[in-house]
Amino acid sequence: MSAASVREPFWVRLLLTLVALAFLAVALVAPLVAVFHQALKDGLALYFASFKDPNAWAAIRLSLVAAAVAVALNTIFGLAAAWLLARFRFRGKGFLTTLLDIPFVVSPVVAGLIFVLLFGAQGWFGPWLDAHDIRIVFALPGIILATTFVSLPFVAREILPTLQAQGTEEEEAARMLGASSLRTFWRVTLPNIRWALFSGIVLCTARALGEFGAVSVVSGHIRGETNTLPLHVEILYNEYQFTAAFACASLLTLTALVTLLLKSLLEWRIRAAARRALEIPS
Amino acid sequence: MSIEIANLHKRFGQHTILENLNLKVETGQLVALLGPSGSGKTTILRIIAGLEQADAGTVILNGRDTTQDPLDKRRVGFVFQHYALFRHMTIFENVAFGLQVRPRAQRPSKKDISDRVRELLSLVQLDWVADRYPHQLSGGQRQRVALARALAVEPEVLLLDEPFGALDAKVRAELRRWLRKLHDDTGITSLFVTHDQEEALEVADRIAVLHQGRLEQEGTPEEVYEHPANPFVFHFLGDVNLFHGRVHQGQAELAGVSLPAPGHEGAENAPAVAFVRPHDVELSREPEPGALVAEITSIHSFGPLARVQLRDHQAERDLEAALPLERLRALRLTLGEVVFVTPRQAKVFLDQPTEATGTWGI
Repeated sequence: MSAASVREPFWVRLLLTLVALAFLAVALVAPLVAVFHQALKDGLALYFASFKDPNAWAAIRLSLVAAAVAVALNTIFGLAAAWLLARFRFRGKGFLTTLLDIPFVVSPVVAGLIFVLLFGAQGWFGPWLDAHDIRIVFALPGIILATTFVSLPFVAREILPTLQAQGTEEEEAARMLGASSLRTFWRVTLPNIRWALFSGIVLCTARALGEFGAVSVVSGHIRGETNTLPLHVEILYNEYQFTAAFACASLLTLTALVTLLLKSLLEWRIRAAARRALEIPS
Repeated sequence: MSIEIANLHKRFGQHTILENLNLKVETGQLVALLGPSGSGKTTILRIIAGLEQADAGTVILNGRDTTQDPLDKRRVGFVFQHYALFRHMTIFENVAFGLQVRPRAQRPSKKDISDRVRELLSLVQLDWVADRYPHQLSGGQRQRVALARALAVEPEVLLLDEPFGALDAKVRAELRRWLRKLHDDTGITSLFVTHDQEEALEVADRIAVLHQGRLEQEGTPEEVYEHPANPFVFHFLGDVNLFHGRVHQGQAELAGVSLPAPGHEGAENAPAVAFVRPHDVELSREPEPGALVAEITSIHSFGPLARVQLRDHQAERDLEAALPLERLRALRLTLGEVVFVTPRQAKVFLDQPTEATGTWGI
């Protein structure tokens, strides 16, 4: 069958293309342009002045700290979980795989509420934590917990298919050549999944930086202390400080654009690697 | 460096993969584990390597019980069917890997590693690909690199799992001759798995035939081919014509054919099955005593032996004969022609469940 015979008529193709483009323009491009337009419309001086506010700085720092810890934790968890799921057969594996997706399907607000329910003053562990003078909710640990929860699946989900496609032969070969299991992991397994791992880390970082709902519930909105960047944007907006709000929002948007760029570069690397691996030997 | 496995058992769920398996490979031999897929041959190899654990039984390498040894301590070289080269490393790095991961005290110097790798790559005639990556090589080249990599750590035994299984016919034939030569040069005790009887017959010093997790027969290619221990081995090692009938006092009566059945002189009208290799089937235009009558349904006359398919309408069975090309030309056989078919010799087995366990020493 030739390619032409499976092609839709011209008007169908035109219509579908126009619908897709119109949707993209309304839902993606226009908001993107609007953010930068609003942020920059009163001049660069005012734009940069928005970041001089100590509360803005505190919010940026808090977001970066929370994201860094969450990404580190999720990288370790993601590697362990993906390795477990790809390399072992055990009862309840399907259940565990499904469990991994819970942060994707649970509303972030609900996730935040769960942590309040567990660690809040009236929560299950509240009295015990209070007695030992440990603060989780309305403090940095709660924000890190909430951020970790919502960005949990990314690394594991990105690595898992690559790890499964790779099979175990190269690892077995390394073991047979006298490499210890740890050495095999560093020298063989990790290099083979590195692009997928980077890709997962990039997505995880983006999600962690942008998280609003879950963090909003556990943070308590203490200015200069427990406000992350997205929360700070909301406060500024509610106080009609539009330029400052959009300036901060533009930072978040920029991280998103960088994420997209990195992601497409990494996907190109992953595909190239997969193509090489699939090349049919003669 | 001998390999000895004793009383090996392996089950997977309800499925028995290996049953009371015993095998011994003497130092310096090249032995083929031959069997259809699912016969457990790869499992044996993986158990010897330590990649899998047997439920019961022992693995003795060079007189030392290694059943419980961690796999990186067994000094076993393993070559995988799909090469398993490290795809992110160059060919040089692949071959050097086993030397580089040695504990610091035993690790050769950089220069020694480099010299050793070059030496191995020229042994497999691939010294010119050192800086390439595995994906830039053909399948046959990749498998040669895999072999060089396995040899780099100076293993005491070499295990090869269907090493030529993923290659096309021409490269296969080339590589197996090359493997034989390499084995003769290095003398390393080797065990290789294959489902290809031709490969086993051509390359191996000895052949162990496996079927459903049991060792059916073990011997030199000649022994296994000429004196198969049971119907399975006969059937598996080449094409056969099958006759059902009875054996009475050393004579087999097989639906129209009467043949001597040596070794069954004591049989009293026992049900039996007889196998006749196609090259033991004689075709003729003249009626002969005890000949079958069959129609020629096809003739394949490529290669040194012509193959003729026949249909015996009376007994409703298909027969195959193989005869030298000159003989075919001399007979001037044509399609649809009716000829006389005489089996020259047959291997007769009484219809009994065959016991094929026990120890075969090599």
